Amino acid sequence: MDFETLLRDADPARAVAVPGSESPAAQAALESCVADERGSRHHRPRALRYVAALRSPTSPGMRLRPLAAGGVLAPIAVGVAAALILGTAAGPATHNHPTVGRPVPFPIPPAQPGLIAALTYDGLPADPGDAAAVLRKLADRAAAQPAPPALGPVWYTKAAVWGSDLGPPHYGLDYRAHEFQIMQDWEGPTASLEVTRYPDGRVPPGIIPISRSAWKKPYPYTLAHNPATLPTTPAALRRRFLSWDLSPSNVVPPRHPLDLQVYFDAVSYMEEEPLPPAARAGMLRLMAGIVAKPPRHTDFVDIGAVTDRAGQPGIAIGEVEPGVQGQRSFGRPGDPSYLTVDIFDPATGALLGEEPAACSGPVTVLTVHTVNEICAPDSYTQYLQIKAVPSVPPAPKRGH
Amino acid sequence: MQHAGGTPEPVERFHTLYENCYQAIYAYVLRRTTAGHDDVPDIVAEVFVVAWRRRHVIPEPPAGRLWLYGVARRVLRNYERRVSRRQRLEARLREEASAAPADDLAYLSMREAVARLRPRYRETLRLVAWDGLSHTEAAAVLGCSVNAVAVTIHRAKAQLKKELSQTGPGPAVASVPSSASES
Repeated sequence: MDFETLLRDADPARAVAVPGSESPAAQAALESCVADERGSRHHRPRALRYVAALRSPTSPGMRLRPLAAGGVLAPIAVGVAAALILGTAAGPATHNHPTVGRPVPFPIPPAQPGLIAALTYDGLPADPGDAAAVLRKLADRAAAQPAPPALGPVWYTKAAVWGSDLGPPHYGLDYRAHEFQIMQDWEGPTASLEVTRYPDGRVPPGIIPISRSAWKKPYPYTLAHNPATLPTTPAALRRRFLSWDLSPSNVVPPRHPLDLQVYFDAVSYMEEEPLPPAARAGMLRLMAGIVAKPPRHTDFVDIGAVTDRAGQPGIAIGEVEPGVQGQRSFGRPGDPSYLTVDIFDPATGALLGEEPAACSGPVTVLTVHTVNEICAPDSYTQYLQIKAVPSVPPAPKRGH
Repeated sequence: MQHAGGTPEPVERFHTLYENCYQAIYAYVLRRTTAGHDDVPDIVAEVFVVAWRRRHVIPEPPAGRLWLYGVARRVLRNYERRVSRRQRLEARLREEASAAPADDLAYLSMREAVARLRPRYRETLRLVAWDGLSHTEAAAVLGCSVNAVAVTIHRAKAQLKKELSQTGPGPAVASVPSSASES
């Protein structure tokens, strides 16, 4: 036997019947993906979301939990390919309205090692627990804002994302603790572009920093989400959201209680699209109504004033989902929880950012103590710009 | 679903990758799992969970397959960190105890020699010799130049031949040119 033959035949996998993609093991693997998706409140495939999802609290030692039989893979969440573009230095945050937020220096100095919470919790709310009242106040302020210059045809989002202290429970994907990146995203009816920029220029393995997609026919998602056609009353907005969620065009059937689905829809609009003031106000009132009568197994908490990692003041609402085995799945009350903190601009009602966190116990009344003792934030995303632009630009060359 | 422009949507891209690469990734993980085979399905599942979460950034074929190898490489690295020294030892003892036929001894010698290679040599050699990647593809996975892969393969094979000729009990190793051709 010559050397090359021996080397080839010494392959340990040669003597093993490697299962194919139709095997039970493969199906279990695939269903793990579905379970992972089902466990996320972020049913819309937003690239920003997935950065956070990658930092999910899944324990490295746990065995992936296949779904029960019948977990068909076919239509999992998909929408428009989110887009991020390698851009220039982060500018001031503008959320339809100017002067919101503060300029984010770039590169951002790394957070302090060991710092758990990206947010600083400035104080307990005067009326803790009344998140609905907070959202109603934000709605009033949103309604008084000037209209954005344009609502389309292309939506542009620029966000800064801070990773948390990843610690041991991570995939070992070479992501740096407290990793910081600027993500830019153009979404148009027939094209999208995504670019991710890292301050040191080093792109972690597995990350494709520039991605551009184009297609000939307008994409149903962007057509259905046209902010120019949004109604303004909570009831009409709810009908509008559900008409898309439940429509055959949507390959993402809702897998949350419908009220919760509607809440997430509203947040998705706020983080992706410029909105008319009346529509934004209507969404906040719609959210307030849902918060006042939350779906089963879900809770909303008034967190009060916060300061984010960029030093930006905000007012925060926490949405708590019970988890199962630390995953973001609906489960029994009392199981470990998953907390998503949405931060709003107190002056305009615009969404400033979000901080998802895994909690080792139930969260009923959120306090500074609760966050620091039992919740570990995954990341913090700050929306720097959300505005309409005329077109999706060509993909930049790497390194530019 | 596919966009009219011919660009697959992320979900379809994921599914295509999954169907085309599951077996290859399974074998990839199998070849590198030192703690026995029991964990391989879970590790492979973890690879695809990562790919699913990042389906929006999966490159177009054929780069998607190489990207997946990169994900598998990092998931495995993390897995290796979790496996205790004791578990690795137990697995090795199990492997050694199960080796019986003469051919298997030769293979075992080769595998052990491969395992003793320096990590960079070992991984490059496995990608080319066992995973069937071309030098160009291996360079993409490893993040190095094609020339570096060729040089590494050459050196790795030379070291293997030297080891096998000294230690046995493998078969006589013919002096075969060690420069693997591009596939």
